Amino acid sequence: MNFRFCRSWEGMLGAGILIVVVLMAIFASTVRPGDPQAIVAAPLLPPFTNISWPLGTDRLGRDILSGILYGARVTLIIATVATMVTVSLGTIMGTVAGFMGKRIDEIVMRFAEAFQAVPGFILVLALVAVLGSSILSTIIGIAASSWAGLARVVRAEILSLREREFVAADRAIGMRPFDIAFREVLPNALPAVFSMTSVIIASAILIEAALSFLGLGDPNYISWGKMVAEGRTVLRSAPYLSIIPGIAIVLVVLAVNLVGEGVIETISPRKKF
Amino acid sequence: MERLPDLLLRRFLTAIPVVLIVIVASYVLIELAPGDAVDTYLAISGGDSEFAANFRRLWGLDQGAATRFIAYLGRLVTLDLGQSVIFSRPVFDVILERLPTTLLLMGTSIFVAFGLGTTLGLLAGSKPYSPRDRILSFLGLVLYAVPSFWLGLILIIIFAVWLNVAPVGGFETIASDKEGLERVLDIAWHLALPVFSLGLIYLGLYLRLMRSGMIEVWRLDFIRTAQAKGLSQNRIALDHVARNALLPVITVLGLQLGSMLGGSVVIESVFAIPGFGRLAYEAVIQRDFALLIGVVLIGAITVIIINIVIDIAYGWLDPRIGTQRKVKS
Repeated sequence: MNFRFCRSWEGMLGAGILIVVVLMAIFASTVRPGDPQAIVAAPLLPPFTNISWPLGTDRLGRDILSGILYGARVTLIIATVATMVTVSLGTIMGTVAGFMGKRIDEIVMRFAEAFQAVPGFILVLALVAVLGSSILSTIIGIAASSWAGLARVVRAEILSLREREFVAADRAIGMRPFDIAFREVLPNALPAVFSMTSVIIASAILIEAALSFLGLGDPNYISWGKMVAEGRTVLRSAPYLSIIPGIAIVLVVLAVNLVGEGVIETISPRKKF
Repeated sequence: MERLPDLLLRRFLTAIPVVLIVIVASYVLIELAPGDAVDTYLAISGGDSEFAANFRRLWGLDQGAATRFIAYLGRLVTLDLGQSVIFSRPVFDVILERLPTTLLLMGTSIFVAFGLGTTLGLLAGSKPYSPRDRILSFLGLVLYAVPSFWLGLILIIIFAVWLNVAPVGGFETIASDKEGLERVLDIAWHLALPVFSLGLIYLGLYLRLMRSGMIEVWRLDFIRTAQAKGLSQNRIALDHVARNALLPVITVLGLQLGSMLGGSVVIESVFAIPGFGRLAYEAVIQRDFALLIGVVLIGAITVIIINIVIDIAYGWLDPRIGTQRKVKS
């Protein structure tokens, strides 16, 4: 990690939260062995009153701390894989559109526009409706709704880069267009990709949370969004059931955004006024 | 400057292939789904296999995929999006009935988000890296991290459960026979919480965009000129910086409308508002695929139309765009 990054307190705060969440995900089964969806205690124990169940229990007597810990796993796995798929797809499509000539550019961009025209979350819903509720279809939904924005940014970068002299030099030494596009031009467009990555991760987490809140997430795994939804039925008597997992979501998304900010500030240092 | 009819025609022509892609892609997607409209119907009403076969013949589902697609396209031309199984009514009518509610929700949310967001962003961006800017930027980042459904629930807990000053949900008081202004106030009272749940989140986005836009503009040469002229810092911030930073924010406003229409799914479910978003959710849960295609298609067309309107407004706000196009063509 760049030394300058450590000087931005936002970045450090975000990194700190993320490290805690990763540790939670790794050690979930060490701290709380067994099924997080198992009934273990009396229902509706409030948080911070019982040392064995520090965050209390839900309507059915399931441990909330377990849910938060195992939920971190699901959140991180889906966010990571979905971001990798989105970034790869967006980058490849953007590069192809920007470098492979007008006709291909035209076709790819019309597809990108079509994907962007359908309201993001409705596209995710439609895909999940067809593919069924699973972690895989959640990931496909996130990627389908997010790749087009990135592809446009990459394309714009590539279009401006392809006129540069080093591309002419590559052509002169007889490199194949495919190699020029992916080995010479694309690496120069990557800073633009990196600056969008934190936004993609954050929106992936929020989409997953919303899907599982609506009961369309993978039914086999606990998820923070699902926990918020389950608390809804007892919102009057036990609001903490919905509040606690919601705070977890806010903190993770905030952390991702803070790290993103920190990285951007590191790459382009601020100017004093 | 490009004349308005030309601009409209050009945008309309580029929109056609996009809409076609949406039509074909959503049709193919739904074809891949297990089960058809008859299965959905039987799940609601029950019936044996002979009954199902009769229904399939009646609805043309025994035909090949290509034949059905061509028939579907033919019906689309006459604005016939098929029949919703769960509502037993034409899809187009159901959607048209639900859309105004959601557009009202979206419109007011955008008003809140854009108005408050750009104002706070202006306050933050007029003194970059000052304590005021730091606090406001952090607030924007926090709001941007909040899931809308959770914010909705928190607002319900505070204002409907604890303070008891707002309704828990719904679009208006049912069967109250309110008319005129009384009805408008009733709807406003019901929509306050959902509007703020949706609006506050996007407020964070506009705050940050406005702020970072202003920081970019502060670095430009004409600002130095303004400072050299001896203008006060506040005057420069408002007249020179904010004005130039506002235009990119409007572009993003257009791009975000689609995501807001998607966001209405969750908010309308939380607050039990019978709008377009909730319709999408009902179509998915009850596997009404004709309705789902309709929602996807009308959603996409709505976004395209809104974007064209924003484009026109943008050209009107920034005369440079019109002249640039003239030079190019």
